[in-house]
Amino acid sequence: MVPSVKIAFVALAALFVVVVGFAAVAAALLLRGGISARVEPTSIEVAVARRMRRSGIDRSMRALQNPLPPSAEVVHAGLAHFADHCAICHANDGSGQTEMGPNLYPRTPDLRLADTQSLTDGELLYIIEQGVRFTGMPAWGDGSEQSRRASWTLVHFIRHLPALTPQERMEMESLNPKSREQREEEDAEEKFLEQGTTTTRPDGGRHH
Amino acid sequence: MMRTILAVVLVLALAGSAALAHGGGPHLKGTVSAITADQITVAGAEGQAAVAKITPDTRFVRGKAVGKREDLKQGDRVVVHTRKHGDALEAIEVRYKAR
Repeated sequence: MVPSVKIAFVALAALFVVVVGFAAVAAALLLRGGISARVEPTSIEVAVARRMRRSGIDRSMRALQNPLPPSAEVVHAGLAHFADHCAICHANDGSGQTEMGPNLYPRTPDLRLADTQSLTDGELLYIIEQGVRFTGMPAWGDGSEQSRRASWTLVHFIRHLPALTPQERMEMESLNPKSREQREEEDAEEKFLEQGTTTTRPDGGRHH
Repeated sequence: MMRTILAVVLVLALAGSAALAHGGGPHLKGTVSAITADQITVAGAEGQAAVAKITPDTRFVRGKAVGKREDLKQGDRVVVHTRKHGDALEAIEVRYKAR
């Protein structure tokens, strides 16, 4: 065999071994614990997913700036919209600490932290309107001007989340969608606190 | 183009499944039998006691307003929303009547 061909053959074989080894390690990391959503995403997986998310948003989209003024009215509109549509997964305070958030894969992010706050207005808008594949984030936009405006109010509200006040959070609780069962339970709890008429055991409340 | 393909391949590789869980705790209704900076003990109508940890994230709601732990004393009627944390309960929210 000609030396140069031999070198090329060895190099190709080495490359093959490296690629297969990398794939095996990646597969082992991804499939540890089967397909369970309970395993914690590795830091590598999180970093790669974030990088891919950024790469998946067009540059012109990333450069968009919120055209709405950050007025009290706009932020409040975002607050109401967030409480109605987003808080079920993200929590009213954006922490992601809901019944579902910590059990989704990937975990619902804490929107108050730099990983989200450092996103551009356009990136936030894109994620709200287009969603993110293979996560729990759906695409909320319907292409209408009304939808776009609602999404921009949400972008302002997300920026406001780190400064959310306890009063605002309480207002959001009154705006959160509730099932009939939840409303009845709230009424029963109010009645209990107001009138003290109950035979409820301490562990007799509803389990979410 | 290559970046798009790479993105699709890696996102596909990172695909996971979303699952909804029922990891919440019970709502405790009763009166405060003890309260410290770290935990609240609630006695039910039939005398059973349940303990929930108080964390920095625990919210106190007095009527329709924001309250604080210091508002509460033994004998006060409360509703405590909890979540499970291992074998223990954590208080998410403590509601009580405005005086």
